[in-house]
Amino acid sequence: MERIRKFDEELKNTFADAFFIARLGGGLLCCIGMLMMLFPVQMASERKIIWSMLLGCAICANGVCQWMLPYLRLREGDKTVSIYKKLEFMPVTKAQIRKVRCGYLNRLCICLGTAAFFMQQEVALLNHSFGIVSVLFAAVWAVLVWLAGCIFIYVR
Amino acid sequence: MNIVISANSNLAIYEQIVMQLKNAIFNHELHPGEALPSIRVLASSLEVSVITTKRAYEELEKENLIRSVAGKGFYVCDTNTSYLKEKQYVMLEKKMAEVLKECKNAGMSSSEILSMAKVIVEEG
Amino acid sequence: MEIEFQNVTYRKKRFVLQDISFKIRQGYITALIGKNGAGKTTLFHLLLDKTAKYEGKILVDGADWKQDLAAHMNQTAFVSDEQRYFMDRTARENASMLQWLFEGFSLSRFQENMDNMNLSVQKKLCELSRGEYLKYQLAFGIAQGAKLYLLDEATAGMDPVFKRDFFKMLHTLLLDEHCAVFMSTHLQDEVDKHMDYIVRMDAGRIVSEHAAVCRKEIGNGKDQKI
Repeated sequence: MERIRKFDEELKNTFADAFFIARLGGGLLCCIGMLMMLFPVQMASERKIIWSMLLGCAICANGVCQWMLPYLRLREGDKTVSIYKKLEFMPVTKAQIRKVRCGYLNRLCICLGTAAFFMQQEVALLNHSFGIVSVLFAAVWAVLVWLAGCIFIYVR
Repeated sequence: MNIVISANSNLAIYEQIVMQLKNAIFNHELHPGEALPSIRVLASSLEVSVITTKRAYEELEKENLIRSVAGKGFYVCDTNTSYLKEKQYVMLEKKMAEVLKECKNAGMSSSEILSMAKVIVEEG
Repeated sequence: MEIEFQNVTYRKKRFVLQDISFKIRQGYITALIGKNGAGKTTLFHLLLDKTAKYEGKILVDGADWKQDLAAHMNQTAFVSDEQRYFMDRTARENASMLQWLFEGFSLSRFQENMDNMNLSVQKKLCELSRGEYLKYQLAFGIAQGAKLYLLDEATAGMDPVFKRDFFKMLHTLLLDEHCAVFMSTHLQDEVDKHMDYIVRMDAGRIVSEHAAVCRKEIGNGKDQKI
């Protein structure tokens, strides 16, 4: 595992521009998606708000996937290639590579989830609607984003 | 000592090596007790397979011209090389006699045989 | 490192390798000869595929290949036309990244090998000629500390001077007698000159396996293998 992490460090250096763009794009999307957390979930009785919140979740999930993309696929010439294919004959298994990427995903989702959680609870408190629902909502939101990331790692 | 492998020869590579090393021993270019290059070093320098040089050394060992010392390599034997050279000449004379007999049977004249021999020797 | 295949049967997509038994001997160059489609590349991929399922046994120095697969892969180098590296990046960048995946990869040794081969580490892999790319892979394998070199049609299309250099490198590799080279080729003169052992393959089966010492029948120029 440590070997793959060290490899990833060099990978980030070598493909610095790809990682920069991914982080920039991913970061922006996550921020936009998280804006929806500024609405307490109790307001979701209004249809529009529900859809905005779901949209926010989807946008954030997309952002997470964008962030993870250069760990999974890289540009070569005029096409993209899978990192699993490139490392197929190296002494590391696909499972090990995936596990390390899931580790990065987990770290990212914990950060996002924590931020979103606090944002949601903040507004819930301000709205005097803090309760189990707001807590659950934030938790489910984070899990959904994380799941999207996992699926992305396994599919790409 | 320079071994030259000819791609056009009728002899297999290992046979060419055997022949050239034999001649080097008979002509005292290689002295008794002298160390020969290892199988691998020889293969590398001649750009041939290891199994070829191995076979060549095995043949020379069979004829008691070289000996292998475990862990050290191959060395030229202390043999009476002039006796072996004579033995080789006798064998070559016999072969020549066979070929000449066939030439005569085919109806070639002495001068034809000699001129053919001259051409082949000068070519080689 | 010596590899022995014992009655190995392997199916990949529609291709089948049937009852494969032969040895890749340590310290020697073993040639794999066969027409296109005989299964040569599939055989190489079998050794390199970490998830390959096959019947029979593949032994490395007596132990099972699959046991301690990572260690065996660590010591295996694959040289071919396949673009298994980051082609848009330089040789140096590739080595800097991939060195971490191997135990005991020596970056300095890699630089040394590349210098000996007159190859620039600053050139992108996609800018190297075919021969240079193959040499790079060999340099990588040596730096990796590989004991088994798998060469898939490496010498096809190489000019004679380049080929001489290449074989010289292989011979140097084998000097310490701990490495093994397994290379596929269809060039007969190469086989006659450089190969120690010959394994012939046809339609997924091993047809013959023997040591290569040719005796040409004097007079008719025909090859006869002993």
